[in-house]
Amino acid sequence: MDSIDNKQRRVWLKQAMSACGLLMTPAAVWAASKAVNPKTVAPWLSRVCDRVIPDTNVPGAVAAGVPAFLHTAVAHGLSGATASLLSRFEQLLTAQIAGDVMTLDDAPLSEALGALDEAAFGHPRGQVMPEIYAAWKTLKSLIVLGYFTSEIGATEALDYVLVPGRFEPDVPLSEHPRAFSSDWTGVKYG
Amino acid sequence: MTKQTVYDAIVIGSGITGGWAAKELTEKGLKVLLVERGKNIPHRSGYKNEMRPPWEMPFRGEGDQNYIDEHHPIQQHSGHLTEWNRDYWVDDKAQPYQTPGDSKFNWIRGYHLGGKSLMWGRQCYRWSDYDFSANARDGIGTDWPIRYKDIAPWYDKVESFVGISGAKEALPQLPDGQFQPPMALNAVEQYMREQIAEHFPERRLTIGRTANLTEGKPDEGRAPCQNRSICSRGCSFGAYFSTQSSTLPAAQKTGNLTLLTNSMASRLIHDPDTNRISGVDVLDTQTRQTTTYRSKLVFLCAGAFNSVALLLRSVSEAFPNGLANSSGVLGKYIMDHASTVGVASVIPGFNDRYYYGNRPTGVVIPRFVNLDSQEQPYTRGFSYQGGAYRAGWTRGMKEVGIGESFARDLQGPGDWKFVLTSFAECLPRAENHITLDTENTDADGFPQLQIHFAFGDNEHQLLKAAKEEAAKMVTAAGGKVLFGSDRPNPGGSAIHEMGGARMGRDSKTSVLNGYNQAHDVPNLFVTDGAAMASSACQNPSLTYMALTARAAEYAASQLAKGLI
Repeated sequence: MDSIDNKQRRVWLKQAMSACGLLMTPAAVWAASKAVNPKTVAPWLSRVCDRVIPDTNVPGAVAAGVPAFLHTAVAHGLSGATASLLSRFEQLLTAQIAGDVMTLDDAPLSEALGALDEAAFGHPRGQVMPEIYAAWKTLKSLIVLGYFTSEIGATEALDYVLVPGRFEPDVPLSEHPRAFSSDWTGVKYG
Repeated sequence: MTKQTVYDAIVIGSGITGGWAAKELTEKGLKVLLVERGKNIPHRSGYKNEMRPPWEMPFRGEGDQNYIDEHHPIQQHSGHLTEWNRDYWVDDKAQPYQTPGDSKFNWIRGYHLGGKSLMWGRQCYRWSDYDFSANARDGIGTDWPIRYKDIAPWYDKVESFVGISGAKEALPQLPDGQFQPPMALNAVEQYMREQIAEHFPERRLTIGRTANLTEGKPDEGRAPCQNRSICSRGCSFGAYFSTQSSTLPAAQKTGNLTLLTNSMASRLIHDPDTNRISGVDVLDTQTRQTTTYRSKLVFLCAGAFNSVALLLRSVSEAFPNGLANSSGVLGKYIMDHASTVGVASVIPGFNDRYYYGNRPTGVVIPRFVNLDSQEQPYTRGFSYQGGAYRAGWTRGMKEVGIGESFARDLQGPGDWKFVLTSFAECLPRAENHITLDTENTDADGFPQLQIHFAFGDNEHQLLKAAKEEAAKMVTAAGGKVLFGSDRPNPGGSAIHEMGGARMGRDSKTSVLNGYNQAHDVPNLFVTDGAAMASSACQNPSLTYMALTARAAEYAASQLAKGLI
């Protein structure tokens, strides 16, 4: 299966495109998400991101720059977020845990967020959803989005192959246990 | 200003049918002016986001939702608009339309060189005589002036040029064609094919017939599909059929083509003395200057509703209710397939299997009801398109879980999902129609369209049956049904809008004859979706292409004989 690393893929892609007489699209980096100065990211948000997707065998959400992305995401309405989502959720969470997120250790913070997560995702359909549940579901979806579309998430936690070059319809999972971030059908429909 | 050059033909619109008209007419030696209202998107160099990974996109591929809500409130419901391809979809704010009363219609459009051929779904299916005889059989709509035998050679021709991969199945309701080697079913799709064949012998699951090359066409600068499945960004490999990759270079190669972009045909000029279209007024959308271009033939390929709109705008003393509208049916009998998710399910037992690469097509289950006999309480039928895949990381956005186990779980693929979207035939009904809005104009100053549209009882019955039958197939295969719907998405959602200038045998009840030629005006041909007299339940683009090639042959021969 595909064991080529990204650098090799880029070289291969250039060769393949060149062989076809095709132009190479410039790899300009649009860094809007980096427009948010990491120093301005609220510390509480980094802690929440870290509890949702911590470092595992690969770097987690904080290393992937998810907190900064969240500021961009809410400012532009991704996942239906409002611009005030982050500040409002901080207020709601502070009230929920009756204290400051920054004063909690990792374990109790994970416990609090885990309970909130279970309550929010287990909330019965058709019943009015408490504001904190709705805010959490939006925030969590953006954390997941931000992580797996980051370079770390897409290429280290998952595998990104821009030009597979072939379709193999039936492959033992044991040969490729990591999911493809570039499986656009699986990503689109989830 | 009037140009002195008299072209042999003016082709209006550069999408799937406009590209074909330009190719066929120029290859027959005609001097052709191809008029496109939108900007030029050059093949390859115009696909600016094609190779960009999500982390290099400002909004990770999702797009600026606030901007999208403001400028693409309709187009975003296509399900195909992403940050990578957002520029290809019209700005709804600049190009509005009206849906009076209870009408619901999502009019999905791409105003640029290539039109929707740049971001289309690429599914290519022949229609059969079950479809061409449908109106005659149940008396709904007017009889098609052609049958399968009339169009079969043209299907052969366009399939060979387009390059369509698919599997031959010998199904009379979905005739085989000139296919390139098929793409493969994945493990669950193969299982479902076998299960469906076992439990429902009259039904067939087969791989989608898609305009993606499995064998390259190097002489045409087209490489085989690389299994990226990011076609709608534009494909520098030229692996899928679009105007840019296929018909436009063929037309340009003849030396007979003149291409105008940012040029909107605003009016067709009818000469009452000759009863011919003598010219086309074209607005340069950048300079705002209008120029009249002259030609012997006009091929109207602006997209079904825009072609009808242009005819409705082109009033004259001879045609006060719209050009070529002596029948009074211009604008009427519009259709779009009634579509919805028939079933979403989980198929157990395959979690040790995966796939490599991204196949740019799904599967299809052709119509299996009301074929040789009318055995159901509803008329005509439905088909399915869909496929099986392993859920990706986005499942984490809607599932419970946080922390290390959650993060590690998302590193692997999720459950196998099997999804079928139902496509039901939409009956041609006079009350579904388009008119010009006398009060509201678009950004170019032209009257907006009013789209009057609703699905009828038959479409609802079809989707109800489709939901039930989809669930039966999944259940028979041991799958778990998660969801199914029998409520149609708003009209237009299938992006198969058609009708409004239908073909027919009788000039009193149709706009076009059996060669897509206007009954009323001999040098006017309409070969896009406007020409359709019924909708069948399979994708129409291949039929548009075949009809266009056929009409071009006819028009050129008539011109050569001095009959036009």
